[in-house]
Amino acid sequence: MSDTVVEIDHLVKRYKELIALDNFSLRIEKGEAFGLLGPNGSGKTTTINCLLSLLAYDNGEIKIFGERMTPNRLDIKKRIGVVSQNVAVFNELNVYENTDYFCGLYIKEKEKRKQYVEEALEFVGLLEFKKFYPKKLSGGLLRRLNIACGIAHKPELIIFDEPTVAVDPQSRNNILEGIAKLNENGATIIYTSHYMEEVERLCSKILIMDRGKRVAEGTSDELKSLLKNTENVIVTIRKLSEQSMEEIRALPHVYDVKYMNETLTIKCSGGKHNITHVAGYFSEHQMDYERIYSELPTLNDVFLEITGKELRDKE
Amino acid sequence: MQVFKTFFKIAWSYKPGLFLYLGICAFMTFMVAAQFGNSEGEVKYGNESYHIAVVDKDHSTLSNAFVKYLKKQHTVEEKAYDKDLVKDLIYYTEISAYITIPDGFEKNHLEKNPLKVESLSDSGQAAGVFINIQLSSYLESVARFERAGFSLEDAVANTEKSVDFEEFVEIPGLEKENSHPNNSISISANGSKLYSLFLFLPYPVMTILLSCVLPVILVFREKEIRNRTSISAVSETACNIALAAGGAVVSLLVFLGLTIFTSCFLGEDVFHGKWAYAVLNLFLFTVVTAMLLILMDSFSFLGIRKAMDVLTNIIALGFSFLGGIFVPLSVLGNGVKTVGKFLPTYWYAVSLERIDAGKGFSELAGCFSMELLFGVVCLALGLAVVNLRKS
Amino acid sequence: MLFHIFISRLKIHIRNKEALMWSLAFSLVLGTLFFVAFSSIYKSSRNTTIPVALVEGEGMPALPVEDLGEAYDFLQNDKYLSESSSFSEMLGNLTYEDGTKILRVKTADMEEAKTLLEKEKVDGIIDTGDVTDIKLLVKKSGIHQSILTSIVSTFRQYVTMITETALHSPQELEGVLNDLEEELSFVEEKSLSGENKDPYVAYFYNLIAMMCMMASMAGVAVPIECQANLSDVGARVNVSPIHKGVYEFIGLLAALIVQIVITMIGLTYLIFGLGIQFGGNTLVIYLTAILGTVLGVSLGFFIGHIGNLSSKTKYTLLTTVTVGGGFLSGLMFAQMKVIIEKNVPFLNRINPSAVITDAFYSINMFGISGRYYRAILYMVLLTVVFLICGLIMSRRKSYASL
Repeated sequence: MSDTVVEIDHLVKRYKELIALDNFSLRIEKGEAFGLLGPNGSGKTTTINCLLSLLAYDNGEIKIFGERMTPNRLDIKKRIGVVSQNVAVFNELNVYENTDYFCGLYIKEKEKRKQYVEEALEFVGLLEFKKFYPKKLSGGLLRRLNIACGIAHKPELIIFDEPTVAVDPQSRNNILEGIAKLNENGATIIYTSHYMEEVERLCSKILIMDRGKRVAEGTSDELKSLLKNTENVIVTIRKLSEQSMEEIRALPHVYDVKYMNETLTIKCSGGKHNITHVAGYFSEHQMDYERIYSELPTLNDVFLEITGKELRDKE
Repeated sequence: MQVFKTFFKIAWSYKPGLFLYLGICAFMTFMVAAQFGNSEGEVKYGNESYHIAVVDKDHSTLSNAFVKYLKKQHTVEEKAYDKDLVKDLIYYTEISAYITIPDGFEKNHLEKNPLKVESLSDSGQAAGVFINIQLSSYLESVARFERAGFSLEDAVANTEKSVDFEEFVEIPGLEKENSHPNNSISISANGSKLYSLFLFLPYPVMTILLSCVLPVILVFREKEIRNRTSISAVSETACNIALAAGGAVVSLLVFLGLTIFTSCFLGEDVFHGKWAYAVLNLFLFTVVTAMLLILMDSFSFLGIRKAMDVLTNIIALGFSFLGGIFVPLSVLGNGVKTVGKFLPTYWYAVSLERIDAGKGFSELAGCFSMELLFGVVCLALGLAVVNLRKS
Repeated sequence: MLFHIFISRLKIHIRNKEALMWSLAFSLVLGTLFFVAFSSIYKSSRNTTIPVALVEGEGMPALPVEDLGEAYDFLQNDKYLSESSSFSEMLGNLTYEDGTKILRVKTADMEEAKTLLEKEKVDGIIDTGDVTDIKLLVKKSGIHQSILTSIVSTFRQYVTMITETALHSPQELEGVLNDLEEELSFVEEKSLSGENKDPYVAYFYNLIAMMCMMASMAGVAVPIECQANLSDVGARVNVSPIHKGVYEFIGLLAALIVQIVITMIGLTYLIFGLGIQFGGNTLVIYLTAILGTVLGVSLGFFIGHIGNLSSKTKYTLLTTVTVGGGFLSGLMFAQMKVIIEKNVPFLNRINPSAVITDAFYSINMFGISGRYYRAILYMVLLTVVFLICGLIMSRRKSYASL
């Protein structure tokens, strides 16, 4: 039996003249935590909606658990859980009732459902808020309720579509930890976001997309290895002569040096501990500096290098 | 200006409500205009005239004379209706009686057991009684004259002479008390054309302003938008002024639109004294309704925006019925009128009656003042509520 | 599972207090307003006794003696003309069909009578000073004055008959006078049947129809909440393994139960609180209102499934149908329904408000008869059509855009 949980082949989706998905393909194996990363408007949510047969598409094929996915495949839907971008709960039902309701769409047996709901609420840390109504919950707690409603029935495949939007850092941390635990327990995760830190943290495999197209795919390290730049060394120094810059440029593995506003940025390709070489140079030439540190490249750098754009809009 | 311009953009999104109530108004206007002939009554004595249906199966000299007599007294429709529809027509006072003259009536009418004219009406109502008295009286009189030896033609002539009320009814100082003495719920039977056309206009004014202007104001009172506006460079006062101005413009457009549309059906009566007063009356009512919106706006914290459809109907229908807009004032009981006096629709209807009766401005001023008083009270209450909440 | 979803849906409706409150407010407030406005109109316009002053003559009036000849002596002694007190009795004995006296006669002299007329203590003065030329004095036009005119006109006809006969065919005079004793009847008076003929009750029929139509707001919410392109919860439901038709049916059932309860409360207030006489069996009225509510909810269900319209557009469309339909069935002007019936009867068959009001009207005016069954049939047909069309459109599908 194939271990491929999700197969998307040459998916095309158009909104009139705009091509939202342009021959987009991906494959997700069982047990993976798969990250779908891309800037706003890249087609992440469109991909998810097509995958779930909520959106009609113009061309391509989608299979889940080896079966072709259509709106009427209730047998497949039974094994999927969705945590949508928008909070989808009833304002008239309290936390427990909401979770119970949505779990009840999947689980018929009352006792089993009760147990699942309790576990789901404990999992997301909402047990003490059982009787609260959504209007009384903070944004973070509401997001947790949203998650509980999506995972209570213990699905094999869980899709998280930007679940941490407008969430405070503590709640975000809790959510990410919870998702990681779900993955550890055997669920296949699809996680879409434009926050690269989350994707890097959670996902074993990442696909970067832009304008409906696949840009790059691989593990975090594989993606970063696409970069020429493997390390940035940043030095805060008041004065730096042209000659010094030339000499630093000549250091091993250094391929680019920039000095602006008292900050020296040294790009290194390959090698390890390049910061040591740089620090050694300054020490050797008795040059004072205020600060020195090293930065490893991010997925944003990967995206920037491939597309020429930032993953996130400049803040 | 931004708030002012945005007001209209948002108001336009409520156009379905605007078209719905304009459609109802147009339908009503066409209906009322169609019911009217050209005659405008001067105040003179006349028997009550009803709408009746007559089916003449006899087509004889007697039946023709009889129908001709009825046509002088009432509005006669010579049409046969289905049995069930006849009942509906009488129940809803579309017709007051349905009269059937059987075949062979003239041939048989001097026999011992003559064929009878069938009259279906609500005999519990004065209209039914009156019509039946008229029918019996005429036919009896003709028969008696014939039995006294007169020819049918002479019998008819003598009978018609005897029923000519101008011969025997005297009116020391005649008053036409009100335009709607017949207790009918029919919209067609009452008052002059100008009166009937202008009478129901408060309904579309209220419904349009409540469903298209008030919701826009309430949008700006939504918590998030209100907060955003209050921290902007536009002061709350400036924002409120802009909203008021937007509301005023839309109200004015509604008033002008209704006035122009209605006036198209008045022909030569436009731009004459009564018309001008009627337009002024409508204008004042529009102003008063706008003031009512201010009161309702002050209660926006109750979340009334979600229930605007229900509120629109309750207020518009309630004011209209209690104020004598849909049902003539003369028909309403004294208790109802007492309640109605607190409503601007009542004073609008009273003003219109007086306008129709040819009263001058001095006699209308009191009613206009009462209309405006309602608006002033709404304004004062609204401001009081706002100040109370602020404190 | 289905029962559990049903209970949850019920809770959602019951806990939406604002919606419940506004639905109830409509029927209770408007019902009370209608009651205040209309309760006494019909009763007050029913057969009322007309106060009239009678001014009696002194002796024989001026007759053309020289022309009458022998007939004059005959007339002098005839009971019809010499005993004016019997004229007063005759007037006082006139009654309506239900036995109510038509006239309340007060005999007075002219001065006193004019004062009474001025003060509107009487509606008219019948002046029999000259019996051959009985006059009627009135202050204004009105139905009472018209009835008085008809009565006086009848007596004038008798007098004309007698004097004309006396003048032209005196030999026939006795025959004419005997003939006057004989009652002639040429009119078969048929009264409108029905338990409550008050036409203002039609406004209450329309009020009930509006209550039923307002249930459509709950009906339209069911498909909206199930559509992924209109609701976040709809998206969640669409990716769940529950059959969409079943899910919607359960939602509809829960909405229907709550709406029926609201309608029943409103109707109970009208019947037992305000004492409105709808005419007909009360149980049948309640059952008809329940069917009306089903029709309302199904209308909402149908509109909720129409095309790719936004939820705001669907609610607006529903408002247009309910308010517009209410107008055409007589909510503002009661006789609108019959005007439509005369000119475009087809509209009354497809307008849900008109169909519902017709059912109540039929119970009152025709009893449980063919007309009533026809109205019920139309209600059932419309309900079935709305539900089937809604179900057909509710097939699980993907959307072009969300």
